[in-house]
Parts: sequence; structure tokens; C-alpha cells
Amino acid sequence: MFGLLSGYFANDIAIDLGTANTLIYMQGKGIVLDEPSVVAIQQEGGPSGKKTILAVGAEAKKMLGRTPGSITAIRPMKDGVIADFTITEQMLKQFIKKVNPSRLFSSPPRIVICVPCGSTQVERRAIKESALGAGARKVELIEEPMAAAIGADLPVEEATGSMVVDIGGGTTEVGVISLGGIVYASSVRVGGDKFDESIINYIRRNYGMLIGETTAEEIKKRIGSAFPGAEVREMEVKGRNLAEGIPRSFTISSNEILEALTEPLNQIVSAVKQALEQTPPELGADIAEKGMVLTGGGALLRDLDRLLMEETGLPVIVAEDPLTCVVRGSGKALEKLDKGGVAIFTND
Amino acid sequence: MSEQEQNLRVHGPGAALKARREELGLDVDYVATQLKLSQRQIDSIESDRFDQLPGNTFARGFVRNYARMLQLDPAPIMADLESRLPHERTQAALPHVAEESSAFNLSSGSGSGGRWMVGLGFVVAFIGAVGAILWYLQQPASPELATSGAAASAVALETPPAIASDTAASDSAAATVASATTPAAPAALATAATPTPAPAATPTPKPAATPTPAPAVVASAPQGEGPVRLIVAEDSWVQITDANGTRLVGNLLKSGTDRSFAGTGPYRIKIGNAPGTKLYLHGQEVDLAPYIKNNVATLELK
Repeated sequence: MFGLLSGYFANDIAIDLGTANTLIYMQGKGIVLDEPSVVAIQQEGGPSGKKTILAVGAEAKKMLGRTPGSITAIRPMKDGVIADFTITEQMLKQFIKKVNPSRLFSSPPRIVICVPCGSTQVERRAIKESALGAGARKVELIEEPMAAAIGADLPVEEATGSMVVDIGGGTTEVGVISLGGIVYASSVRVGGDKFDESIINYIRRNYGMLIGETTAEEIKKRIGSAFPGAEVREMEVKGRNLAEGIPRSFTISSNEILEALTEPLNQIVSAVKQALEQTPPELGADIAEKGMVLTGGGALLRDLDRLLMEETGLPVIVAEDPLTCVVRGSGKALEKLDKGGVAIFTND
Repeated sequence: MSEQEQNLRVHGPGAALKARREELGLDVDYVATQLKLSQRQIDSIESDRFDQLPGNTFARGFVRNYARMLQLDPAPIMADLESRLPHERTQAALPHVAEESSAFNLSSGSGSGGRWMVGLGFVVAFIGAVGAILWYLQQPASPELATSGAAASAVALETPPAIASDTAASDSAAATVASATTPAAPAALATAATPTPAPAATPTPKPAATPTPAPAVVASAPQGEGPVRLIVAEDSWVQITDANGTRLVGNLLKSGTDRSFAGTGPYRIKIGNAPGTKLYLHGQEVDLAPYIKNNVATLELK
């Protein structure tokens, strides 16, 4: 009876409001939503007409780059923070409504939401406000490295150093955690989006072809790699030839993509090296023993762990189900919210 | 591959990895360099001593990396590994620091226990409110009906001497009482006014005994027995608490109410509309004027 009641009233949720994907974790239910952070907006009756939301999530992502003049598909998050406040709020509202339909007597949910550790006060405030605007009763912010570490099942509360590298869509977060707190954290605005951008630029420069973001993402997922391997894979790509202005197809190899990704990958490597430099020696010794854990969608890039291993000389492991680490960690933090574990949350 | 599965089934993931390594002609030193692990850690993995690795999360990662390096399918090895990992204590509450900080951080909100207490409080308050409303709705109806009969009979026994001795006096008393009640209760006036001609014509105690002019009778005779008597001319909130802390009355008394209260003195009295209320102690009127502040009289009677 008591459990039934608490299940009815407790509808607290954790959100990983990411640049690429938004994931929602619900207490007692697990991950209930995993959709791209994309909103399609329809403009009615000319430029001064009413704007309505046509689609959000996966449905809207299909429209990216394929919309007529009256529809715009927007990614309201950029570099891990809000680029368009109103659209983000609307998107959150739609997602929350999808997973938490309002019921009689049910109170608005408490929300734990992740923020990049490098985000400014203004950016954090914007995220908090948009969650409040989307109907939250109370909003707690948690820094992404902490959420990722909890989600990856690292011993965050023990007196031992754990290093986590969360490579998201917009940012890469490097954090060293010990005793339930962040000892060192840094954030670089390099992530999956930068990888896509680099691939687009590389193909334009070397092939004189223009490809879209969706195609670039597809190339990255299929043949992208961060370290030269024994096997060279190839893929046929279609794009528009810049000189002729006509769509053409061409073949690109994994080695070329590796070359294209060198620059953003180097930025990630230097962020990790910098974190290791800044880590106190005792914690550094723990990390040398255990290595670092990769989370986030970027961890799925082939041989990224190998690259970091070679560059740092430390063991690197990829967390299980790296895409959902952050939201699972936030969900665990949400459960600790009631048990007084507030140290893991950040103030504004 | 079947050999790997057999190895796995018989000896465990460590033995399967070791067999594959030897098959490829690699030594531990080379593997350790490739995986950036120490030779000790490789030995621990190969002999299934996973408790000597930094933790289950890392043990899983190291074994997966090792399997990938040896070009083995990690899935069956990982499945077998799960059952062999040492039981790790679950990450219970966060450090005590966190619990302490919750005491300082007011915005952290109450815990789940607190939340349930608040919820229970609401339920109790709701039930209390419903009970109070039901009690209030029943209050004017039943108790007055129950006591009015008794009061009428008491009047019938007590009042005849007074009326018999001087009908004119009782007449005027009735008139004053009636006039006192009139502003708020014209109905009472009407009932009080109509029977008056009859006693004037026939100086018999009958009208007082007849049940029809009951309101007038009630006005002249207090409800209940007790040293403290209240005559309410205008609707007023009244609260009387006796020395034992028993609340004798604590509700809105309608105009025309005349009630007596018994308890142990001293009485703490609060009258919401003091100018429209008369208070008697042992039959003697208490002057409320000194106690009135903003129409409310608060006093203690001994």
C-alpha cells in the first residue's frame, strides 16, 4: 500500500540534457527516454506568423537538413549548453510530458539535471530555469564527470582516485573523483559534433565534396577510428561536388577519417594529459593502478581507448553502455537525494 | 573457437585468455606493455584472482581489453566473468560529509522520512478538518434541540413564582431581553412579541409554560448549569477554558444564545464580539469594557 502510494506520488526524474541526445531516467523505472535533442518548428503564415512545434526527438532528427522553408529543425543545445532557451524549454516540456503524463494529485517532479563542469553560472542558471519552466518542482544540478563516474560504477565515495573521461556530443569532460567529490575537472568543447565537423571539412578540402551532418555522423560511426589498426575499412559516401554542383559518390577509407579526426582527438588527449598533470600524486598513483574510464557516445569511436592508452601509458577501459552512463549516474544520485547525499550536487 | 569455449567452461576466463596468449606465442611482458597493466595484474587475470584487481568495474574492463587484444570474442568471456567476480559491497550512502552538509543546506529539502511525515500531517489535518466541519454542522442543530426541552421544563418549574409575583415585571424583563435580541433576530422578536399581549390580559403563568414561545423562554433562561453565563446579542466567537485546560466552548455563538458553563475556575475567556455579549459570573454581570481591545475581550475570571 505504502509502496503503491509512493510509486504514485514519486515521479522524480534525472535528465541528461546532452548536445546530441537527451536521456531521461525515472526513479523505479530506469531509462524511459532516449531521443536526439532536436526540435522541428513550423512557421505558420509568413515570417511573422505563429511558430508551432512540429516534432521533437527522433522524428525531428529525420528532418534535419531536409526541411522546406516553413519548417526548421533545430538542435537547441550547443557545446553542452543551451543555445536557444525557449526551444530547449519546449523540448524538455515535451519529453517530460512523454514520460510523466500528469495525473490527478501527482505533484510536479523533482529533476536532477547534468551540466558540463566548464559551464558558466549563466549557462547553469539557464538550464535550471528551463527545467523549472518545463514544470519541475525543484531542480538539482549535477556535474557531468560526477554523474558519469557514478554511472560507470566507479568507487566515487572511497578514498581512492578515479578518473573519468566523458566524451559527449558537445563537450569532453575530464574528472578526477575521490571521497564523493570532484578533485579536478576540466571541460573542453570538443565532442562528437566536432568530429562530424572535422569529417565534413576534410572531405570538402580533399575531395571537393560537400556532405551533410547526418552523413558525416554515419561515416564516423561506421569507419571512424582513433588509432591506426590492422584493418582498413572503406565506405561509399554521397555528397554534392562543389565544382560541378552535382551529387556524386566516392569512397573514403578509415585511415582518411583517422587523419580528419586528428585535431579534435589531440585536444581530448591534451585535456586528459593536463588533468593528469594537475592531479595530486596520491590520486595519480591510484589512477596509474586502475586507469581511466571512458564514457559518453565518443567512447564508442573505434580504438579511442587504444589512443589514450598509447598517449598516456595508462590502462583505459570503456564503461559498459557508455551512452547511458551519465543519466544512470544522475538517476543514482537522484535516489541519494532523499538520503542526504547532497555533496554530489553543485550549487548553481 | 570451440577450444576457447571448452577452456572457458572448464577453467574460467583467466585460463581461456592464457591459453589463447600462449597459442599466439605472446609473453606476459608483451601483453602487459600493450594493455598498460603490470605483470602482476596480468597474472591475477590469468589465474582468476579478480579480488586483487582494483575493483569489479576495472576487472571487467581489463578482461575485455585483454580479450580484444587477443582477438577473442569478449561476450562469452564477460558472461563467464560475472559469476567469478568477488562480491563487492554496494555503494551505499555517500560519505558522512554529505549527511552533515544536509544539515546546513536548507535548500536540500527534507528527507523521505520528512516528506512522509508531511504527507501524514496533511492527511491527519484533512481528517481533522472534515471532522470539525461535520461537528460544526451538527452542533447548532442537535444539542440545542436536546437541551431546549430540558430548559423549557426547567423554566416551567422555576419561573412561575416570578411571573406569579409580578407579571408586569416579568413582562418588562421579557421586553428588555427581547429588545436586546431584536437587532439580530427579528424572528425572536416576533415570537417574543406575540405572546406578550396574552400574559398582559391574563396574568397566568401559562404562556411561559406553553411550548410555542420557546425562543423567548430560552432567551430568559440559560442553557446548561454553571457559574459562567453568556448572553449573546450579536453573533460572537467565544472561547472559555477552565483551570484544567478543558475547553468549555470554542465556537461561534449565534445571537440570542444564552448559555451557562460549568468548570473549575479561574476561567480564561475570549469573546470575539465583546460589545454584543454579556458575561455573568455567579449571576453577577462582569463589566467587559476594561478588557475590550478591538472589539475582542480577553480576561480571566476567578
